[in-house]
Amino acid sequence: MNVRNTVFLLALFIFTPLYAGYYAFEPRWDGYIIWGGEVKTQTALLVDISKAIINGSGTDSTTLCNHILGNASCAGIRTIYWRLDDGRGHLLFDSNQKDSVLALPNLAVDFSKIDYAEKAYELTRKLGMEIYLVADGNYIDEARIKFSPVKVISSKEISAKDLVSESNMIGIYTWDVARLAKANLSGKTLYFRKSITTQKQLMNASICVTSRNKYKLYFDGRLIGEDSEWWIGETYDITELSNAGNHVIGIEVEPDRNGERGLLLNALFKYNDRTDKISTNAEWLCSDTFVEGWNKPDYNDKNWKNAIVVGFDGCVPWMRLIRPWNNKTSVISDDSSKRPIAVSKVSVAENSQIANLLIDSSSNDRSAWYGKVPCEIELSFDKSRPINEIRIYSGNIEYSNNNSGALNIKKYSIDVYQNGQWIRLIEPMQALAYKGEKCADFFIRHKIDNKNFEKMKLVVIESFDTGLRVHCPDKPCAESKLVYIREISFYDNLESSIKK
Amino acid sequence: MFSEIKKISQFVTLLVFCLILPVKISEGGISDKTNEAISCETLDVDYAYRWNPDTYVIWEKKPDAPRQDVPITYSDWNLYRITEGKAGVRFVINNMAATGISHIWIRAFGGGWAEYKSQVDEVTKWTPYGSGEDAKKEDVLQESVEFGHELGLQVYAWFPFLEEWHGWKENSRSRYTDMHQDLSDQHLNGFKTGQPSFYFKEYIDYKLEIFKELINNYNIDGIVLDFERIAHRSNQCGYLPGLIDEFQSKTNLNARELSANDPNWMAFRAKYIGDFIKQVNEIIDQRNRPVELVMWNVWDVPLSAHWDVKTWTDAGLIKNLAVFKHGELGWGSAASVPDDLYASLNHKYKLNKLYYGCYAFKTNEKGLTDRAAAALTQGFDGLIWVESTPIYWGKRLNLPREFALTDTFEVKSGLTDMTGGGEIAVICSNAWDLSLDDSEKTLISGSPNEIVKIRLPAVDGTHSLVFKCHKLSGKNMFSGIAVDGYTITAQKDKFPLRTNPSWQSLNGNKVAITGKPGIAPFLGNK
Repeated sequence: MNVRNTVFLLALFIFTPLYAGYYAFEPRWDGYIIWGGEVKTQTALLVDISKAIINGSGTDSTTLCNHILGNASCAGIRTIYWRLDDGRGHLLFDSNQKDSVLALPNLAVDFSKIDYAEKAYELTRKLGMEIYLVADGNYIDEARIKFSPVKVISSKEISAKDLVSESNMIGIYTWDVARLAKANLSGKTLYFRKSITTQKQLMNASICVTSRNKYKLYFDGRLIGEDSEWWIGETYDITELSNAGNHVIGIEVEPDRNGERGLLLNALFKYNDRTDKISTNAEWLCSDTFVEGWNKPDYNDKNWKNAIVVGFDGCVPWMRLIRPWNNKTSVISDDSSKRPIAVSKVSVAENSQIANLLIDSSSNDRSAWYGKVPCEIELSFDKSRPINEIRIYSGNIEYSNNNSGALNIKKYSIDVYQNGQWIRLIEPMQALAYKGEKCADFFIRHKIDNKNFEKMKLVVIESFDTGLRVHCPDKPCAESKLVYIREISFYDNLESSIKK
Repeated sequence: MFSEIKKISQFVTLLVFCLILPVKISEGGISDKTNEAISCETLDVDYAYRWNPDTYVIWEKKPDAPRQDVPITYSDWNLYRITEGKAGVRFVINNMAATGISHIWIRAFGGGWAEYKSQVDEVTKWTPYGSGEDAKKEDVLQESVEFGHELGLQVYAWFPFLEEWHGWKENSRSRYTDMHQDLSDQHLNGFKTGQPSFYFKEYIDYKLEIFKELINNYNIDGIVLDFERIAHRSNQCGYLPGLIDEFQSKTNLNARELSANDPNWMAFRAKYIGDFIKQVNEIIDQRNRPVELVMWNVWDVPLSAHWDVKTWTDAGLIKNLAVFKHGELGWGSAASVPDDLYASLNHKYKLNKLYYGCYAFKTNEKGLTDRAAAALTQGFDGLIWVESTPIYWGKRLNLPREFALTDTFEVKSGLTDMTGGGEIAVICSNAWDLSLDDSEKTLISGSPNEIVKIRLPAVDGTHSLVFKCHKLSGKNMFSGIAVDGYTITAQKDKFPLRTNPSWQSLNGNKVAITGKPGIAPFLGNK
């Protein structure tokens, strides 16, 4: 065997497992998903795990506990009462009273073999929740010994006024969870900060972040990036900003109006001999009040409160989160004039039939229309501005609404108003999702080389709409061919890198 | 006097003899006097009753019950609830069996994710929604096959083999497509679709590896090649330089100058997928056990760049066709189904079997029932209830049930020695009465879906238990009765008494298994 063959085989031997294990070697998100403020109500969760099982769940104890407790943490529930019996004389743990231990042979469930309570305890510790095991009758002493140091109480000692049951916490994300999250957790825009110190000889510094729903990431007060797609995190290289000394990572998070909320951030500071990892957890500080300079190192944060944990990577309902560090994103230029451009006025062409205007875009850079196709939406700015990029997000995100077709843009054109006349900027074309390109949701992105214009007109020619609705499932509804546009945003010189 | 007494005695003896003898001869009868005296006693029982594993839920099948299939995607179920692990699989399949469904299609692969223990390197090996460590050990397909077969169901592997991820976010995309962009199909303008092309041998080999695993490692009864449920079936693709050159060398035509919908050009591109199906057939032929290969597709597009139904059926590559259209308009009512659909498809293609897909997501119950009935009237060989999750949570499981199962059921056990009495537990979807043999007397009655434990009376000789299950007044989605227990013989032995398909319907119709007790919907008073 010659040297070349040996090297080739050696390389094959080394790299093949890495390639085959492409996903297995990717890191998961560290730390916890956090939210801020105090939990408003004292809703507690009472779990009878046997009910969850017989109502169509699984024997997989990890997953089952993950669903119930993950949803609960996401809903802002901090106290769990975990029953050790089903209230009808069957024990839900491996008791010395063997005859009473529940077994459902045809479901392959045997509580003498699967310790759900132990799994629940582990998970509540991870999520920073308080758990009480609930036992009655003559087995309470046995349970106290078996599960020490976990608190075992009798059902009479359950002190919570508002109890919800495990049936509200089954599934990936339910309206029960959303409703509780809205009731329990702050719905305000929140500000998070974490002080860090970097040393000399830093080789590389990067931050990967995602949130529900929209974040703005700052480093020492400077806007680094922003995004609103929760299932994929953006990775920002901040090496050149991370001189030795004290710094602050600041994040402003605008919650989702449906109740889904949370922030997850991982940061890596790599030195010659080590890597410092920073990740979101309950030690992060949070405030719901905007104060000038809140995101800078010299800001006094003594009145800020600790964040609370509302989940982690893999925890329901965050389990569709894409692994971190994949999505490298340019840092926004430090020139404050090169920021996302606010739209000053939104109008809808007279010949367009808009069914409903959900949010008035003139008061917010977020916009959302639910209108009939074809339609024209006109957006204008205070003055003629150089625009480098247009992003349009359309379609329903929630899978439950996809019955009708996602109502996303299928075919469209874009006109701009320049020097007193309308000019066709984008000829009618199909959206990326329909061309088969890799795209996140139904996201349209056009880079347009700093064109100056005062107005833009989006013409939606065709949408993906089957016309079938929940309320008229048999035939196309009268309002068929609708489009749902979630957001249109404009950027100036977004690609400017801090390295330039 | 004595003689009179003797005569009376003889008369009484004769009378008793006349009364008793037929009973003894039949070994299943019971005297009125005994009948009046006997009764049942109810005992405490609840949902945690440990049903013997040999107990089955049974019901009477309609004589004309059609074949009814249901495709099942576990990750879809998981979005609604946590149907994971062995219990989750059993929950889903039991619910399907309870409606008289005869065939289940387990989605074995899609979006790069396998719902079975694949050993192919580039396959991601478990459902994206199973996050727990335990979940990774589960083999949904294997459990489905085992449990489905136990219930008498035919279990098919549903194989959406044209790479697709149908609307999920990027994290459930096919990993293979990410890793093999070099095998991507492309449009005329060079635009890469991201979908691997069957023109590339590497891709075919990869797909065949998966196919072999399904065929060789699992005791499946059939396999469904899903052409309908794909993300990209545009004819704009297939403009790969090699493919275009081959087409030119064989036809002297330049594909670049033809319409993407040119029949010759479409057929040429589809041929590569046809070659794949040919190899699939060869793999199936090598298997000892028959496996039905079903092509699932839209009914009104016989030819595209991805399929060529006429050529494939003529060549015998495809013999069984299931037609369906996913959520499309015009497929939502009986009136929209062409009257001659069955006849025209059978005329066009050489087919063994032709099945009809009902889209359970859309339309109302009547619309669904009407068009399913219309399809059967036309001659279709079976119904496919597409989308098992909405049919379950939409509480539309009464639709397949109405085609398959009777509303009432009178069933009797085999003869059993009840000299020492016995104990049984009963659960039934409907209200029921228990009697012995052909007696009119009801010994005990039960309510729908309520477990009742009964102490059986001690009655000399052998008898049959007869259960009369009444029609439900409301919507009836499930049908079944399970009995588990024993009788005590004259020798004081316990003799098992459990429902199974050997129990006889008094109507003479076939008795089918519709589930196992102790699993929803046959849990009882939970």
